[in-house]
Amino acid sequence: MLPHLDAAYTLARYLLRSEDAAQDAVQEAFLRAVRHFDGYRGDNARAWLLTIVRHCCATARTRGKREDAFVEFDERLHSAHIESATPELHLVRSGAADEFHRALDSLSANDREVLILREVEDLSYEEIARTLGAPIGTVMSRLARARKRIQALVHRESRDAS
Amino acid sequence: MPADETHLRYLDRLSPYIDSELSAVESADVAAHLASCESCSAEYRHLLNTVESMHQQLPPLRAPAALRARVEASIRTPAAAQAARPIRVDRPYRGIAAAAAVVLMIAAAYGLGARTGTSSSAQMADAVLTAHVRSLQQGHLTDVLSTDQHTVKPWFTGKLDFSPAVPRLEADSFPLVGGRLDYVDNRVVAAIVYKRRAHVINVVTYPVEGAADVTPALETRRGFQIAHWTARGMAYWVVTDLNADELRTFCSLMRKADAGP
Repeated sequence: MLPHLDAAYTLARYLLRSEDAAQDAVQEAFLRAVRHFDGYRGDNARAWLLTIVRHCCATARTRGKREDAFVEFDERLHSAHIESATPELHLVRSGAADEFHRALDSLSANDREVLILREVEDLSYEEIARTLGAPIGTVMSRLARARKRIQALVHRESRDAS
Repeated sequence: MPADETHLRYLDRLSPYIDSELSAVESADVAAHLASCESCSAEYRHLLNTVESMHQQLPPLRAPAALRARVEASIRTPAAAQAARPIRVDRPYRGIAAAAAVVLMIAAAYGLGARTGTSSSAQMADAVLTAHVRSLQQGHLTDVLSTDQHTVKPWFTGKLDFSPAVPRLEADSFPLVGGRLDYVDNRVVAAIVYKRRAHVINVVTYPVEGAADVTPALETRRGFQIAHWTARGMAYWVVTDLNADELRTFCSLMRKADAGP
């Protein structure tokens, strides 16, 4: 029984573009969580774990094609970058869901992150602030801005389609 | 018709209003405005609609069974288990075979205990940081001003029910400045002050009964570096505006000196 595994997987899967990269990031995050248990401050295990997942995803993104991105070399990682920019998420998606995924993809990493933590992970502003290492005021304004952007993108897309 | 600026002020708060993240007063203020302003109210419905659609269209996911198995297997390996410090809890966790896999569960339980008992580590870090900032104000840094450990250490005698370690580190360019009594999180603590160039380093220390040793963990708060560890029944908090590397050096010197001959 692993607590918060679903939350960790959700964040990684939304932040990274391939299933394999997301699963690798989650595994790495749990390993780090176990190793760096000292850093746990005993108040919010989920936010703490998501902070680590977020770091692992950032590492996976920035290290890109380098083969030492994770503890174990994984051939499949190399294919991560040629896969679709839109995660499939193993779901049959409605047109509206596609719209949101495309819109998410075109946002900046900062905007995407804050939206996922709020709308998908359902974290409070305080938890988001902790996860991102940013003040609550920043979270508030970044989230408001990200929502406006995605609203404009989705709105434009549905207008274009009709 | 209110000025545009008024509308903007409300429009900026629609997002936290939807999340119930405004104070009760602010929230009531926004609600009152929405009831009387058609254009802001339309914006609010539009944003609420977007937020609700996102909730529906971007669902949380379930981790695949294969990933669950893989993660469970990987954190059970000897290397991972060894690195994970054993944490004692009062409640027995019956029926859970994979010891390493429950580390995070125990973390959650431990967290609940910590909240009801003494302050959490995060609160302590804040309290120590506040003490550091206070100490930087004119005349608050030291009660006993001395570069001599044999002056500083006895000064604490009779003022504290423990004797703090006051190692000399000037050979490593961390000269001792002095010490002071401080009051942090409802207890009297010893603060030993060192310097590195113009940077002040506060070492706050107090006894923690029966606490397991914890290796130093560094964090950054409000631009200050904080290190915390526990060794031989004493908790140490080091706060400074030095960079992390120099703080790490300082911590290892402190720990080496404390381990003693």
